[in-house]
Amino acid sequence: MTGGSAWSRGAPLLPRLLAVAVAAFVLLPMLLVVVMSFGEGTSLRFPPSAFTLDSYAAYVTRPDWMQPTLNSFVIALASAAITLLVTTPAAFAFALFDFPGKRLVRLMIMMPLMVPFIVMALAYFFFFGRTGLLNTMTGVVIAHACLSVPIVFLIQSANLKSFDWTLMRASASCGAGPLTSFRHVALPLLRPSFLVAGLFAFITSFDETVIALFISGRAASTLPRRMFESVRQESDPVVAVVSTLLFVVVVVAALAVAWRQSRKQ
Amino acid sequence: MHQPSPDPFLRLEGVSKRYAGGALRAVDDVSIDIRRGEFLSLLGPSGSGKTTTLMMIAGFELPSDGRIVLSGRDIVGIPAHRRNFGMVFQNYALFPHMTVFDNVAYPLRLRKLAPDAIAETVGRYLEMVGLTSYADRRPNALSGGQQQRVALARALVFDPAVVLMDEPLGALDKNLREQLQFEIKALQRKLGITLIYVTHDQSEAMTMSDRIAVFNAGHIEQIAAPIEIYRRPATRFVGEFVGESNMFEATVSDPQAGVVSTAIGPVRAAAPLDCARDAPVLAMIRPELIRPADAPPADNGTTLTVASIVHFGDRVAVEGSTADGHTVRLRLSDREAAALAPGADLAVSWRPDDVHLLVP
Ligand SMILES: Nc1ncnc2c1ncn2[C@@H]1O[C@H](COP(=O)(O)OP(=O)(O)OP(=O)(O)O)[C@@H](O)[C@H]1O
Ligand SMILES: [Mg+2]
Repeated sequence: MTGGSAWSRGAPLLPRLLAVAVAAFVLLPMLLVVVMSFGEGTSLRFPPSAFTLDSYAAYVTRPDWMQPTLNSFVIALASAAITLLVTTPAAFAFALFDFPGKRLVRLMIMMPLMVPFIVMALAYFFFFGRTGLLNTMTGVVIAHACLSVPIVFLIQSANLKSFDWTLMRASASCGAGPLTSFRHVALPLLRPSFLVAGLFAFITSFDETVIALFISGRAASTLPRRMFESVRQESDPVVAVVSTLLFVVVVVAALAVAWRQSRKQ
Repeated sequence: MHQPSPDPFLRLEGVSKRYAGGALRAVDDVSIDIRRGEFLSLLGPSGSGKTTTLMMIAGFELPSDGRIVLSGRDIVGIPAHRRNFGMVFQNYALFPHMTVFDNVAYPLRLRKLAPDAIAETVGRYLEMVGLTSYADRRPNALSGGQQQRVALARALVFDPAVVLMDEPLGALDKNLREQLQFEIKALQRKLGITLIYVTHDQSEAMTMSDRIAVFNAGHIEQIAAPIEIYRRPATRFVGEFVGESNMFEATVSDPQAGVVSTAIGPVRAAAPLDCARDAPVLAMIRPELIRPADAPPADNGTTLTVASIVHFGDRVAVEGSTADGHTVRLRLSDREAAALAPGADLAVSWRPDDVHLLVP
């Protein structure tokens, strides 16, 4: 039975090795990009011959990079706002009421989750082509909102499920109408989780590439689309800068959440 | 069915609530007159429709049938937040993002009172429930009993027309529950509150209420003062649900003399009976009213063989059986039970006054 005991002694090590391997697998390519972003010259190369901040300067000064960045922010903000405007009332309606056709409506809301991105991209391409929304920010905003509605609806429904609805009755018994109760009780209590849902919608849009490639065109080009073109056509080192910045933002955000969480306990 | 009151303040008239397309009658034709300043308990087993009735009064459920009338006005169409009814929930339902002060101030702020009037009123009510020094705390920094006191203050602070409570002490341990029963009762008296109190705890209903409405399967079996419910239950259900009882099926043998015949022999009640000979009735005798006797009398008594003796400290529960196997329950004092042992013979008797006859 020595083999068995040796195995069980080794077992705790295995998950640790796996974790290290996964982390390395994820992080190493990322680090590669970070290093390249400080590289010298006008094309991507590894290892760089010298380290400069030229590419960073280029990123913030070149309109062909700044414009897509701005576009992406505007589109992500707008589509997150639209998403929340749709999903918040929907999630409340689903949590509070039974109505005929409820399951059908739920299915409709969930639909974008089941359709492959590329199919949606193509559909939008032809549909927007006919309606004049192709190559416009409005078009991308609408498409991205459709994409994030099902996910955000699911998140908010889960939040509402764990919400204590007797609080709304308590508020009503104190004399507050439905809207007042919503403002004074539901909203303050649900705001943090709704903000997370909104952030999710924002990221869904900011990160989306396939549909943006098809319908955003040059005028409404998003950052991911610009990056894709850059890599394909020019091998511009600025793309490494953008990746690095995004990476840093995500790491900082994750650390901030972790820090808040640990302070709560 | 229930005594007409001179000043019906709040009145339920034939109120019903059906679910599942009418198949389930959660509340079935309930009528109650509630007087101003009355403490009315809705008592009944789980699922008997107490909460549903309370929620219809509160305005959170719409009756399928019937009227709810407050001071002569039908309020069925008035939404909950305009009824001006205070409410206390079993799980406290305090607003977790507000301090104790803000929770209690909430109804007053909604009524747009001036800030200093709010501060004064909230202070007064927090003092009433003994939480003055907790005003700045959040609910999650309070014990269950303290939280329910805050909920109490919040339900009373705006001088509501009626206060509704749904098992408000259900989540508290026994000692705390008894203390809060006392406090709620004292507040209700002091402020003259009209209070409707849902509970399935009969001792709670007995000690606090002016009247009890006993619910069973969606309808009211009896509405009466607690002692009336205990002494003269209107139905077999009430007699068995409230307190312990010996219930014997009987047939009337002499209506004038109030005598019925039961499986444990003839039982004589104090008053003549208002029904025909051979009519089926129920004879009920509370266990504590059956007394040990030197020898069993011709009627209102029997001889039992002691089957079990259970000591509760302050009293002893004795179960005996008659010669033909009918069980009779007694409550004796420790001294009375001292000489008893299982298998011993015990002669018992009871007074005609203590026999309650139910005509089904
Ligand atoms: N929304 C609903 N849909 C269907 N049936 C319901 C609904 N609400 C209550 N009922 C049913 O109505 C009946 C009465 O319920 P209710 O909650 O009034 O009982 P209760 O007397 O308060 O019981 P408990 O002591 O357990 O709280 C129950 O059979 C319950 O299952
Ligand atoms: Mg209930």
